[in-house]
Amino acid sequence: MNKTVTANISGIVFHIEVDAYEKLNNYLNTIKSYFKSAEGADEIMADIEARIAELLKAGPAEVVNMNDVNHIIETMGEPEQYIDEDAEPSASGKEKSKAGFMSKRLFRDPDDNVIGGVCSGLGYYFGIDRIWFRVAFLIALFGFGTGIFVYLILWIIIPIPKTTAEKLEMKGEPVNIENIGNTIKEEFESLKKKVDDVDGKGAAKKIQNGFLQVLAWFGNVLYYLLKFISKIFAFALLIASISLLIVLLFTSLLEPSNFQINDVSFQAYNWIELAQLFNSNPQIVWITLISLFLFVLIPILSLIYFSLKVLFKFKLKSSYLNSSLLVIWIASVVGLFVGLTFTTVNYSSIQEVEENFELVNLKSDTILLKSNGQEKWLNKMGVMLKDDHIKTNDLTITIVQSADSTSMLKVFKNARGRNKSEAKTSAEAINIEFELVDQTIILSPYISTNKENGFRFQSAEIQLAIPVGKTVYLDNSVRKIIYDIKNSGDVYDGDMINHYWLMTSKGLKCTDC
Amino acid sequence: MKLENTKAQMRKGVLELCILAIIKQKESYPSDIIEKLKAEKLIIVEGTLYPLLTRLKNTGILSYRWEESKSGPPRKYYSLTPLGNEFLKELDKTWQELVNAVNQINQLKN
Repeated sequence: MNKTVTANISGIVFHIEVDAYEKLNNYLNTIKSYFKSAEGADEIMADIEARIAELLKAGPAEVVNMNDVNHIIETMGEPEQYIDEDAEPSASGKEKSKAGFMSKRLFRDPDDNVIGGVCSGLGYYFGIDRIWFRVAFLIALFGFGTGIFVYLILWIIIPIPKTTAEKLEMKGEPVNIENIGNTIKEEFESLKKKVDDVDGKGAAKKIQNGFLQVLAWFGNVLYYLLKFISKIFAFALLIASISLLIVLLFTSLLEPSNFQINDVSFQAYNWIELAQLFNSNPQIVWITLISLFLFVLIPILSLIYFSLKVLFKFKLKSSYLNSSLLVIWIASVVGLFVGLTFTTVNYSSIQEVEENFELVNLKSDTILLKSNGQEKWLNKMGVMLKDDHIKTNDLTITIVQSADSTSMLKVFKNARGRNKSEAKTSAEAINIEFELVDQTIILSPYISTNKENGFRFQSAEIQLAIPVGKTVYLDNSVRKIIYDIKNSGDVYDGDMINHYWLMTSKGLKCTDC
Repeated sequence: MKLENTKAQMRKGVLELCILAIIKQKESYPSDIIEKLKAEKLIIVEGTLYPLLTRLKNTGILSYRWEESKSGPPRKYYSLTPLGNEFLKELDKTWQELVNAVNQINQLKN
């Protein structure tokens, strides 16, 4: 009993036994491959098929069998006998028949592939067993995943052979009728094998390739795992770096309304104004600010680029970009260094000046010491730009015994500068604000100086000098300003608040504790 | 040198002439031509004919028309074009010259 298939030959339906069909189909494909390059190939094939149909129709059999096909091939002739030597040779056709060997071409082998058939193709091209290329790619996989990139690129750029002739070119076999016939036969066999595999007959053959397949499987799993992990990492990195960029841009553009360096908090309207507190030279200010911006920006951009590259396999064409970014970054480091150097010299010298205010209008024996500042501000050292003035709160007050019968405020003002005279000028420019209302001294918690003078770590220590017999009441508002007030009871500053202190010859004495 | 090869070459040389002569005699489809050629042992297999006919048609020597067939696919009936007629005349002339030349030379042998 034989299986039959139906075939349509030149518009007529025939029942053909399977083996006979394969032989006939093989025969026609061989002829077709041969005529591929000839002019009017389709027409020739149509004529031949029509004739075969006619011959089969004329035959006696209900079902076409091997004998009928053999008879047809006998009648029509072997493919070699079709050769029409007078035909004007197409350029490639002549070369093929004369040279016999084609120059090899690089194709991917779709019939022997683990992933994309790249290694098989390379194996054919270089005449080396494909296993070596597979091993090489597997090793390269661990070299920072370069194997993956190279393989993917090759996968994309190397085509798969579409025609039998191209397959022969891949294998480097001469393109002649015999080889085309063999190749087609191989294709049939592999197709048959695939069908058999479905039935489970090919299981034994699969075991032969077991090692390779296990290797390939592990390779695949590892590849996807690495890819997955690196993508997650890259995504997290991308989110983080974009957030950093947003923070940087917002910080740059918005007012640094409350800005803190170490324990010093600054209030200013914008970055330039703030920077000018430290250095009055506008060029230095600009260099420093721009350098600072680039110094932070470029690493963030690099992180974004790197994570995008990993995520989307995206690559910038220009190789100049990386190097120019590096150059700019180095320049920013230099700029920052120059700016900071030129700025720190402004602080190399320190000077103190003394200023005395005699409290002539203070008649009563009891003095109230108050402050009109906000207590919150005083919790830490602060610098604030307000209108044309820099206000700082580095101010302390203490109480000492007056040398004579007068009451006075002795103010010791400190500031830094490039040299002694500049430091002294800065110190002299410090303003102390206080008011004397009846028996009350109302002290501002800030010292101020003109904006042009810049921030030079201005500070002031005030000594309230009172003669023996006078009493001072420390209001709660000066809690943060009083500093190291000597008293006979060795009471801490904080505990002296809200009490009356009488100046005796032995120092201050609490009268209501 | 193979005898068969030489014979085949000689036959091949006159094949076009014979095909054109058959078609000139009567509008023909390939099977007709093949039968006549086979009878005279000018070709052994049919496959040879199809590329040849297609080439002659493409060079404008032959033209064809379709005719329905009861026993299979439609048939191509080939006929000579005016160019084909001229071509055949030239081939005939050459053939006569060849025959004369070969006869002359063969007579010398005797």
